[in-house]
Amino acid sequence: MSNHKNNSSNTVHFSIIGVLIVVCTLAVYTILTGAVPFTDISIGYGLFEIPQAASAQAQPIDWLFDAHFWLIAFLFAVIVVPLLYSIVVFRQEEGDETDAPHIHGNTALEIAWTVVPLIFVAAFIVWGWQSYFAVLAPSDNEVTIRAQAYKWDWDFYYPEHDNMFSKSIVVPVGQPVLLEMQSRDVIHAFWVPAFRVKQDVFPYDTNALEKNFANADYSSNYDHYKPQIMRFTPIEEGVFRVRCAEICGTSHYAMLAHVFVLSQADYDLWVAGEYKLPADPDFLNAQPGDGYYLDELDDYLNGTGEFDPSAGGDEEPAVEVEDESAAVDGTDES
Amino acid sequence: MRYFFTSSLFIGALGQWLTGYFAYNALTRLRFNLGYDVTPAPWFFRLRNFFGEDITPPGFDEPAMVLATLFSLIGFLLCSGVLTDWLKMCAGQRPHLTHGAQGKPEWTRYINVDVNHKVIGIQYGMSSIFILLVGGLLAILFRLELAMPGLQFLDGDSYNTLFSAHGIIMIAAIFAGVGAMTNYLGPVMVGASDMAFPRLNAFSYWVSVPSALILIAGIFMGGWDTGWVGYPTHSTSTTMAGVQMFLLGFYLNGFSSIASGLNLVVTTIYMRAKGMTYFRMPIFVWAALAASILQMTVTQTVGVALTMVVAERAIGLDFFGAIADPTLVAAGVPTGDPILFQHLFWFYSHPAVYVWILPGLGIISELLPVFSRKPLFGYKWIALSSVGIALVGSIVWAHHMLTSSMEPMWKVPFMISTLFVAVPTGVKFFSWVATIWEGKMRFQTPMLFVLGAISVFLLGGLSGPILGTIATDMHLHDSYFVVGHFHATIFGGFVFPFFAAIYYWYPKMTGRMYNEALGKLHFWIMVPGFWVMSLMQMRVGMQGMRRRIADYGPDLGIAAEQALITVATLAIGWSILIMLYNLVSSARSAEKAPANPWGSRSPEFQSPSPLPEFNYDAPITVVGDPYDYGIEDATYVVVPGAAGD
Repeated sequence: MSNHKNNSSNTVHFSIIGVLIVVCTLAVYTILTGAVPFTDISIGYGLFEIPQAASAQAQPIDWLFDAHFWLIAFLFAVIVVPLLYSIVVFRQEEGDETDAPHIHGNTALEIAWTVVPLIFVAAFIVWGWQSYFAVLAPSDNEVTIRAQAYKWDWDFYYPEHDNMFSKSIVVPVGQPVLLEMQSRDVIHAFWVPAFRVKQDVFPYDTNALEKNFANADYSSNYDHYKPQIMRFTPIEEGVFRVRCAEICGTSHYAMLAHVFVLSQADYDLWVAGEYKLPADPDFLNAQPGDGYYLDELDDYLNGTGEFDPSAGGDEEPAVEVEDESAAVDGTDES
Repeated sequence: MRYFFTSSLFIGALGQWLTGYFAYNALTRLRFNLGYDVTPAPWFFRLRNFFGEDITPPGFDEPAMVLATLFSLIGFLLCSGVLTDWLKMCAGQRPHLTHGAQGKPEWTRYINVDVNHKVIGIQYGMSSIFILLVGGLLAILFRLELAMPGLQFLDGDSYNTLFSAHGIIMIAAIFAGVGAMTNYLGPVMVGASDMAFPRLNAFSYWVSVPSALILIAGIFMGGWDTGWVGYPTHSTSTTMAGVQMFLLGFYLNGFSSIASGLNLVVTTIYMRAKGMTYFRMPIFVWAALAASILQMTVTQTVGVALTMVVAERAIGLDFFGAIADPTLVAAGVPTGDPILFQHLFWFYSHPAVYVWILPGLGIISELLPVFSRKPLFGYKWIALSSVGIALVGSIVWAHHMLTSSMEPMWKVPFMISTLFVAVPTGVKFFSWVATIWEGKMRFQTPMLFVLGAISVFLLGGLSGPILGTIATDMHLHDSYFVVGHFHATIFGGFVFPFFAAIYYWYPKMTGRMYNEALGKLHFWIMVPGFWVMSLMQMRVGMQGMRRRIADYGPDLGIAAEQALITVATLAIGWSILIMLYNLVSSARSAEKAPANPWGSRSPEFQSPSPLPEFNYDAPITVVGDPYDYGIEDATYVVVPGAAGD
């Protein structure tokens, strides 16, 4: 094979591969996200779909997710296309026992594929940095909620409402929340997938904590109080599950709590004790696998009203619930 | 049978069991007489039956269990005879190294203490496959549980025991597999007749056996629910008694790592053949060297971390703050910090991942030129990228703690260093593609597994940066996405290359050829099975499934994916049984293999199959570069009196 012929055939190969890489990148991105790039078309199934975002912090995070999906799609194409192309085009022909051409390396190429990834790395360092600090950034009108994690449950306290105790987090939509979290025993982690943020909850100074629990008083300053901090700003009304994400023993899988994101009016009523959350233990302690759980939760989400544990599935009570919430809103305005 | 009952393996295991049994008995009686609230008992097995039911006797004594476990290791080592030569040296004698089967059948060498590096390599390999099967069986058990929402046949504790044991037992299997590759191939590839320290080499192997037995026994002796990471304050406060067996088994396995790492480093530096400069070594040796340097330098920190947990549990030292004494707190004495453990643990356990994958990546680089009939593209770059991965990989440990209580500012440097790992890894990928480019590829089973390894490791590599940037990791940390990412890197970086290596060097080890059709069947079941498993694991993690949970709600809408993961896991399990059948049946009856069935230029293929006791009949000389495929008459090594070509 002459050198000239080799060069021209390489040009053909590289042209085909260039086109294939572009096609493959777009295809992989579409498969990962379910959205055809540069269009509004959705294919309805994304391999790496993330849950619907429900917090302000999700916005920079989802932007970074998208950048990563592009990176994954592109790098996948850059490796897999030439790999498969070589396998199809250059494979050993029947009866050909000779060796392939002696190409032992190319320093320029090696430097290129060291330096170009460095540029990608630099870009992701900057984006990673920016999005991280966007997520950490405090807001002006934060409300503080204190969380206590223990095997295998969560307690929440509202220092701004006289240390009011709650088994669920209840917040008005759009209200920035500062979570101060402590563990009473082992490491737990607070995760709401729709909020995207996660924070491990460490058991620092469990003694001081217990002392404090007895008084339910957090105003006293003591040296060892070192809560783990997490911020989120809910932007969607609804009920979200808190999942403990750090292995903590027997019932780790069932260590769940709920975040109720209500309208401001409903939230004010709740603070005043006039708005009833689903207090039914069957609801709050429902284990994964209890069949009725989802339907009831849906009803609750759609109705934002009182929860009726006797109602089964998504039958008529949904309407009833809506009526009730309307009545509740009325009393609020008066 | 007679040979089995007189083997080091059997007598060692029996000695281990008896030592542990009598030690626990004696220690509990001693402590009872000293007035401690313990029940003197000779029997400390079966603290928890197989279904997770706690049948721990009242008065169970954990400190005695710890000491008994340590004694049981000494019992194994003494009874197996691996310490005999050293003890004789202490007594002033000068024992000679013995070689060969000592008049017994050849196969008995593999269950007795033997100092030949090839025997030890195959011992490691067989242990690795056996432990892989145990760990895989555990995985299949809990995957069956996860196939449907709801708890079917496991409860929280037994599920936790199964996944925790799966993790650490697989790690023991991987270390054994790495030992198999580095021990069998390291000395023969550099042209040495054996390792630098043959007795230490045997010790490395024979200390890993009892520690693996301790880990497996831990499942039945209480179980543990800490995962393989064992974070305090959970590991220091859990009531599941098997946690000490886990900590000690993990700890003792570290001796094996440190000693075998040291041995390979010395062998590579001092025992290379004449003319074999560093840049003329087969590329696998570079990878093994980088992995060995890591192994012998970072393992100590996890030893410290595990010792601290053992001590905190057994004798109440306070390192991690779980059992802070109220009077000390009142006096202003600072309590421990659980994050200390995480730093020490990951300072080892992240580089450990590179110990597992670097040899595997070396196998990929080693086999690609042979089956593409082309030189390895950019030899020096690939060699140095192994060292680069090892160096950068040593300073990324806190990316496992991006959601921990570390100061937010301190997480940023670890994000940066983590992203830099992509650069040397990318060099490897691009060089592999360039090696294949225009290569006249032959698709025998080892090559298929190498290509499978590249595709799967790509999956693992591409899912890495998304976990490295802190903001996206806040969503994905401790989710099933991490499980998918981790299994992809380990299957791509260790399991697939390990299987490729087994098929590739099988004729060299046994002198016979494996069954090609069964090998291909194994590949074509395992690769799609793995892709489905890993992608679905990543998908459910994205959607919000946490890792290490016995059950998940139907509210996530992931039941179909879970069922699919379980089916894929079963497929992988069956494919490995096919490989096992292939290896065993071919060793007995397959046709004799030629000395160099692949047309390889590597020195070990210039010597007969199976290799002679000292690898080469006379010292070899290196006169060229290792991968000069495509140049006729290019010579790499001169092997005096070589059989075959």
